[in-house]
Amino acid sequence: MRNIVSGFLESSERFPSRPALVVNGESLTYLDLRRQAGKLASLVLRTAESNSPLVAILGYRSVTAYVGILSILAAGRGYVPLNPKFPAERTRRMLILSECSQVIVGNECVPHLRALLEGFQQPLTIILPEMADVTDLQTDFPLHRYLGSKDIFASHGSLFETTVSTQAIAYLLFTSGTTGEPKGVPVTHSNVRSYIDYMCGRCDLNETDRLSQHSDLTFDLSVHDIFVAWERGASLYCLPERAVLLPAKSIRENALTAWFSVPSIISVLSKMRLLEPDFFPSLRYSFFCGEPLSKSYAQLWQNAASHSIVENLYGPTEATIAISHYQWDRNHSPGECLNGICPIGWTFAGQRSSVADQDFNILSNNQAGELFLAGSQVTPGYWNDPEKTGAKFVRLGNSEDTIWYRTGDLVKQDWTGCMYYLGRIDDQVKIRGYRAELQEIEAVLRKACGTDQVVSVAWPVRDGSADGVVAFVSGQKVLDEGKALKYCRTYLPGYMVPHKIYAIDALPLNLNGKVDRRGLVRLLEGART
Amino acid sequence: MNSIKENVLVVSTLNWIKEHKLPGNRHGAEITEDIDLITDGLLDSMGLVDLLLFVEEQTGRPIDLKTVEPKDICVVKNLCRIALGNPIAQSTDGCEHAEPSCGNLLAAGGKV
Repeated sequence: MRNIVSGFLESSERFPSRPALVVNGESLTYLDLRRQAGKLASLVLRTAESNSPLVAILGYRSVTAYVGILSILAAGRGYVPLNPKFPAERTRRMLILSECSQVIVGNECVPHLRALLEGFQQPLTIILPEMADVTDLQTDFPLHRYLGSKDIFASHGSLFETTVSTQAIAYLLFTSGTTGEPKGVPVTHSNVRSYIDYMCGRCDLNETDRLSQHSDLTFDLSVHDIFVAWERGASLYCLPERAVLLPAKSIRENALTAWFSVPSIISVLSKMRLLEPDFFPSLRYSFFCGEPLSKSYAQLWQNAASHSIVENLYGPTEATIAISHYQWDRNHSPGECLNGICPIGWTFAGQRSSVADQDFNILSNNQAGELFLAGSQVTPGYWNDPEKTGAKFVRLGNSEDTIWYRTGDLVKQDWTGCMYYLGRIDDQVKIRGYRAELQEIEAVLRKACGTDQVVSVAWPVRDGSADGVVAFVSGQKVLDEGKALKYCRTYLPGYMVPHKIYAIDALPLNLNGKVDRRGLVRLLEGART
Repeated sequence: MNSIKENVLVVSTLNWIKEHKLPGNRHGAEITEDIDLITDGLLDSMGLVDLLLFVEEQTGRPIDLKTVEPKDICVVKNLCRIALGNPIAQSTDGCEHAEPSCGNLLAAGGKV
């Protein structure tokens, strides 16, 4: 059976001289990429000192980031993307939890690597494909072994492992965890193949297409971009860091034909008057995922990308990128939106969904309940965490043999099977598409503020998507907000750090005696008006 | 070249950033006209939009983002020049000539 690099290998045979990757102004053909990744894969395999199935990659919008991912897969390992935009402490935890003993690092991430290695007690093999002289690192952090570009040049081997088990891990992503610790989601080759096969079967992408690569590698939309592009022999266009914020010019100048991002980007472009009718004539496909897509955003994008199919995709990391889709139709879709939000549509063919109540009883059409997912895209559970796996991967009453993933998303389904997103049943929020557990933020805040009386709320929320988080603290005579925020920045990625911490006399409680988050939101709304 | 107005705009823009976007753990003195607001982590996408709208409000004219390079609007000095229609001299690496902050960015591994 094919794995997730099978498509790349086939494309490199069919289209060796076509561009596979454009990044930082550099274009690599399929042949270039295969050669570089094969050489690096050989080094990865030869220098492995443990049986870990995973290798970490610390690269940011660079050739090394993509060659690194491909080489790890070519070596028959799964990749763990690390993000230099995250605090070093969080990256350190991710590295420890993943049990990786090898890390491939791009030169652009060396400052982050140095911060990461401060106090890191487990020996690593660190591969720096662009660094000729690794002496400085060796001197400063002697616990670890370093391999630079000379070691790759000295390597005569080239490897592309094609017999990887489909149940092997292709990548491990970390999501926000409720206990204050990031939670690992291992995604198998089989999971990703199901996704790629389905998407490629529906979309007529080919070697002339140019796919965007907008999301960071720690966000699974990037997996779609990379492996759907390479499956079809298309080109992957990695947007430069600054263009990520305002990508309109990149889309036009590079004549991109497929776009994939969170819907928040539509809001940004709209505010800056960059969504004029037919502004993106080259786009054939536009996919949005990660947070609710509002009716107005879908209409704006469809007008700007008038030749494009516009789709709202839905799916948690545990169900591999996306597992349901809704294709926007200029005429009918506005009437199908619920509360101004685009439906999340129908489950991919071959995948399964059920809506159930809190006792796991399946609900009938149009009843609101929690969405449960099953099928070949649903991942096997959480990394090294049977307790969390048992809580979220469950059996439903009518299907004892099937494992269902509890999404925590509140939905309802109409008689056609079309699903409508209604909200969350817990305290998970999406901040500009990034998934965050308020409990994780609060766990850090408790330490930062030295009190248990902390609450965070998503704020402001527009069209079902949050711009950020603010926090409330009680039980402290004097709050040093600057110090508390600094602490938060040490442990949380930027999107999870509160914009503001308010000190209040007492946290409001609801009738059940729980902290009244809605009451706090009303306070914020009142202050705004 | 409208240098006086540009200077005023730079100061008011920096003040606006310090007032609205300064994280609790940063000092206002760190926010200068030369720093990259994105790579320095001061602004996210919504923050950048807020900043651009503020600058447009000050100048009374829209910034044509269809033609502007995103990297040029991430530094207050360049943003203000663009907002006023004043040219920014570019070298082949995208850095403004005689601009020490670009060199620092490159040394730090930043892409300019």
